[in-house]
Amino acid sequence: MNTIPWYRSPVFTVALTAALVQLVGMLDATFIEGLVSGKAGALTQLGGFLLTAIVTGLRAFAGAQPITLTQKGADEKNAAAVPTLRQGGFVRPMVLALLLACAVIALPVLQGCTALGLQQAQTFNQRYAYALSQTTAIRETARLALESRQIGVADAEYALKLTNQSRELLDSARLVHEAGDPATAEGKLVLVTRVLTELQTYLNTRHRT
Amino acid sequence: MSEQNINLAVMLLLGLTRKAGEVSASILKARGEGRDLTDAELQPLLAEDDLQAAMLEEAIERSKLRLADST
Repeated sequence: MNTIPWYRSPVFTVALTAALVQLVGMLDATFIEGLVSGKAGALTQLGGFLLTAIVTGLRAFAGAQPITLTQKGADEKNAAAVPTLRQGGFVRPMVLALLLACAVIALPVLQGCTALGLQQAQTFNQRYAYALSQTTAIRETARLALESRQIGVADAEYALKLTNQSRELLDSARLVHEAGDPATAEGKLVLVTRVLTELQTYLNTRHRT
Repeated sequence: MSEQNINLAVMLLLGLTRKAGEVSASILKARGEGRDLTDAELQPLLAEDDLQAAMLEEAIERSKLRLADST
């Protein structure tokens, strides 16, 4: 039975292409945002999609078969007459894990708001508005989760307590900013973001038993 | 991660994204007019947060009453 090297595998090629596209998107979002129009990110994504499709098509037409299954004990004469291509063990967990980590998780996260089409906050008021909206969203989600009995009363009370603290910090940050101390105000915003992130993690791991 | 955790994570993600989208729209509009977000634009966000806080508090009280009734 013939084998193909792991780097000729369509699965690997497509995943690598997707990772490269995400990398280009991240570089675009990180370094050249503002220098070119906001449509550059969308065009990059579109180009990446087309590139991935083309590579997939080429690999398919090149004759590399992703997986060929042969039934044990089948007609061996015919099986020998038709050479099969088998992937030579490219599906190594570490390689796939690395590709997944790069293409699916890390790079889109690094792209952040740009990948979602959200405007990047550039001023204190904009960062304040985003943080306030996240506080509100968590309150709303906690209420809905409580009403649908996905979390318990204690979890909801914890969410209310932490979101109230976040709101107090936000109000305080705004007052400090208006008083002319932007550094402290920004520090408070960062603190709010950390509290809200911790609360999200907490809620994500909770469920009513 | 259980199915319940996934439901909650998705609910949270959708809620966060929706709210961030609303803010993003306000920012985009303000930028289009060459200015920052004004206090008048922040007021509805504050009011919405107050409303959601009150609603969460009410939901907690209702749940407590329901638990007390059931025991």
